[in-house]
Amino acid sequence: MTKKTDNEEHEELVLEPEGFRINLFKKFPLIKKFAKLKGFQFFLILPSLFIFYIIIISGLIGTPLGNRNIAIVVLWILWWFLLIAILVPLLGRTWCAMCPLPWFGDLFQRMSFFKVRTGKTNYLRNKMFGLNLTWPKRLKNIWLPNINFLILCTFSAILVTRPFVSSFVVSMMLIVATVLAVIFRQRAFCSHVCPVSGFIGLYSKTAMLELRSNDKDVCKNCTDKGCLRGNENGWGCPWFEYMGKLDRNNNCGLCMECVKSCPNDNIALNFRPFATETTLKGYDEAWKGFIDVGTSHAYSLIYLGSSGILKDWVNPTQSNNWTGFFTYVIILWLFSLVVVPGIFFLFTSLSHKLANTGRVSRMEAFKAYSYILIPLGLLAWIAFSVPLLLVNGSYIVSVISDPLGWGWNLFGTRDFQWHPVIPEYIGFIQIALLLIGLGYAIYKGFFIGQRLYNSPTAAFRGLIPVAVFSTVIALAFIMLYIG
Amino acid sequence: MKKLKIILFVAIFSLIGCCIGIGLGWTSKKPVRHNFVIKARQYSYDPAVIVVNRGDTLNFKLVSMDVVHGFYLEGYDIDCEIHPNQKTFKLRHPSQGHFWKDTTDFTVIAKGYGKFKYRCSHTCGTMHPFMQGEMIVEPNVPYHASWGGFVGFMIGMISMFYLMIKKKL
Amino acid sequence: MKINTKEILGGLALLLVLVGTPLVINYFSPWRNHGSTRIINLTAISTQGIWTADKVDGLNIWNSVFKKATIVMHKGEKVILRFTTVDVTHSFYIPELKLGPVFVDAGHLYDVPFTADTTGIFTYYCTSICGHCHFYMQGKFIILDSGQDVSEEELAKINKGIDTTLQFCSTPLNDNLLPKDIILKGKMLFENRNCILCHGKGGKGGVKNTNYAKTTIPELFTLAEKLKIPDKETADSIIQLLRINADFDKLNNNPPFRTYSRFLAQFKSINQKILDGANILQKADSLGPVPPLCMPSWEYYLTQDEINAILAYLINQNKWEL
Repeated sequence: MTKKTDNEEHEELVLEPEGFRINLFKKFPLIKKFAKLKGFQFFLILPSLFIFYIIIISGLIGTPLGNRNIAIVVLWILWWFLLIAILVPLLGRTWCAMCPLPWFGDLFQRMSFFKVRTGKTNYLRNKMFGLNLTWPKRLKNIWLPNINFLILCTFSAILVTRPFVSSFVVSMMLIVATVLAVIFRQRAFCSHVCPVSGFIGLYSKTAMLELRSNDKDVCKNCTDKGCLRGNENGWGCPWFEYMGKLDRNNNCGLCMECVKSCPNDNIALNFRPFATETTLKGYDEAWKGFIDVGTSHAYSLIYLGSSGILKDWVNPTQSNNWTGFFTYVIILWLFSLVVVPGIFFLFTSLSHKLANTGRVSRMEAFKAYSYILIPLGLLAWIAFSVPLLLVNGSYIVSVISDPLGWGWNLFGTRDFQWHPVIPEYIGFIQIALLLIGLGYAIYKGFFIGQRLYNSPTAAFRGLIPVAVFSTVIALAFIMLYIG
Repeated sequence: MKKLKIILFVAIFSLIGCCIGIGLGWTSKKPVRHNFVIKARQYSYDPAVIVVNRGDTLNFKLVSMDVVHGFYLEGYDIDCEIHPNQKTFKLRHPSQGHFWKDTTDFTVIAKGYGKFKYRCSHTCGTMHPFMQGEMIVEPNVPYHASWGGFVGFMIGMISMFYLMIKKKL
Repeated sequence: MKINTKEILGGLALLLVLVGTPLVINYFSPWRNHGSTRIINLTAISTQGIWTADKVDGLNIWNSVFKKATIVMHKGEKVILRFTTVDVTHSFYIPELKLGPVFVDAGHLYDVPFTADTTGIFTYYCTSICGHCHFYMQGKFIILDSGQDVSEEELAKINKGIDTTLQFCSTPLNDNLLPKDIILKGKMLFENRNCILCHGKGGKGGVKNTNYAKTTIPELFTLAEKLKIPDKETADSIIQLLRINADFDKLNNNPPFRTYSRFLAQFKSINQKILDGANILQKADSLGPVPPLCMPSWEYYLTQDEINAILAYLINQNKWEL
């Protein structure tokens, strides 16, 4: 290993090209007008509440046959695909702005649909109903969402094939969200409990949309701080964000309250390049990345693979193979919580050793580099979801006409037959998606290294193991998909 | 212009990788005839994976072990309905619509490269949408190419950063 | 609090969604009939081997045992039979009424209009094998004279013959639990592979097959006679040969009994019949309906050992004259 020289200390950094920012509020004033509406969330949520309400009802009283029930088809084929492949990478947490699950909690806390109540609750200048307790400090992270997500993943086979279970889980989430809103401040459920929110939050870092303050200096001099504390024009941020310091998408629910409450009209909705933010804070977020890569691997093997044994293992209520089920649970949890992070740790340790700057600790390198799993994991999840949509998408057409499997024929498409779309080309789409993910992982890996080691040569040396790791992960998916 | 140069640079590496991958994985064997008996059960096929060579003649007999299953062979315009405890099954060509005919077996010539899945086309229970098997037509060009291509891509990216820090790009 | 029109409108919109949606859904439930024709909803459930007229939904499919449908109609009545299934492909067939077979693909709904014009008690069958309980999937379709009624006890009596056999259906056989002894093994397979349903207990036969040339399904307890086995000793020696899995062809050079060659020819043909099954049966009336029950092919479902066991059991069933 070469000892670092003075020369290296002072070498010039390779500049990451400055990504573009297009302020959509400025470019399309109509968007701003809509965001400024008091009923912005109301108009987004009401239609999605309608759909989710039908999903809940249909799961309970509709046909038990999954591919004929809107609870399965729309939730797990259409909604999931839209969320993972379009909403999150393009629009970040937009789903959280239109999600109906925490709405009843919101309505309880606010006791109004449109009107903003002024008053005083904790640090807020809004009157909020409920106990308004602070969320326990220990749980102020996304470990709980991580575990909840893994639990849902564990029962995924039952969840995505039994309408009743899907409906039960959705209604439980709604109930828990409402109860937590009564007890705790604002969107405690969304920030620290919801399994889907953890998933969306992490991947929305890559999103091409961000809500930021236009000019941080204006925020510094602002005494009102309406975005955080609320005022007569808008509610205080339900996600506890202060616009003057907001630089990550993780916890911005895009509810547009700050657009209304900002006294300086200093909020911008920016269009930006894919995967712009590269900072992870804490191990909870790093592990979220590992869990998602681990589970998408497992899912690709189970649901897109040909093994009947695995399908019996994950489906114990029918196969009665509980030994197999527990084997699967142990393997899944070990794989995503220990094995993937373990392998990653080996590679980042090597990277740390190769970089040899002594500037940061090994664990810091591990934490910083774990960002590369986000573009990779997101694209892998999309690659996993593409065949689900293309092969079984035709169910959507028939289910739209007959949501409960009761023989309705609303749009005349009830008898539309199952027909996979270009199934023989799915493999090529998956290759392309994984290649994009790999490209972003390696590309961002270099600049993370440079930020970490503050030296391009060290970043380059440190990049090699990380790039190898990303390639191994991508190739593992390739083996499952087309090998 | 710099962006284009970088993209071209990495693309060349990937392409070279692709070619090497295809070259290493290339096989050409004399076509033979395979007779497959595919047994469908909830929720898999046995054999789950069949490996054949391009140009082979493939004869399929389909059997269902429990309930009515389907057999949709993607890329070959084949869709079957298999009833258990029967020597015949129903066959149709999806491109020609819903015209089923009874048959005891069917024959196709292995064409294309890589993985072609056969999926269940008749709802057969809860896990039906995931019931599938795979037919791999060797040489598996997409697979070998993406192996080579991904490794080439990685090497290309790394070299690109090398040139960048050496200020040559 | 000042009354705010906007708030009220918002609340009304929410209320409309929360209350209106279930009301509208409930109004258009298939279990509600808005037309003048009676609709009979029949749902197939493969794990229980029944067509049921009960309401089956996502919630109750988990823990309920549904009632087998016994359909009662009156002469001259017009109904719509609406078929769905909750799991796999089933079919519905009443040969005597020439109703069906209606193939009910999972995920689709089939409306079949039907007018009752003959009175009687008919049997409906599922003719598309739908799992372990398939052979139990039959029930009664009763058409009464107009004005006539049928009591619960009478219905129970009519259904009696069908339901008693259900014990074999509910427990799929674990191959490891098969007894070692060839005759017991044969008996167990005969019952658990559902041969018993058509060929009768102990192969006693007598099950009616509508419009079949031979009227009833062949009995099997006389198999030894069909195989030209002359007496009990010979039968025992053949069972012994089956037990040790002997090569019957080789024995032809040195036949153990006089009629051995005739036995062997018969034995092979029976064996082949079990493997192949019989898909197309000879009709009594060539213009009449297709007989609902036919011999399944067992080629991929029974090993030669298991077929031997069943044959040994059936040979052993013969009542030898002393």
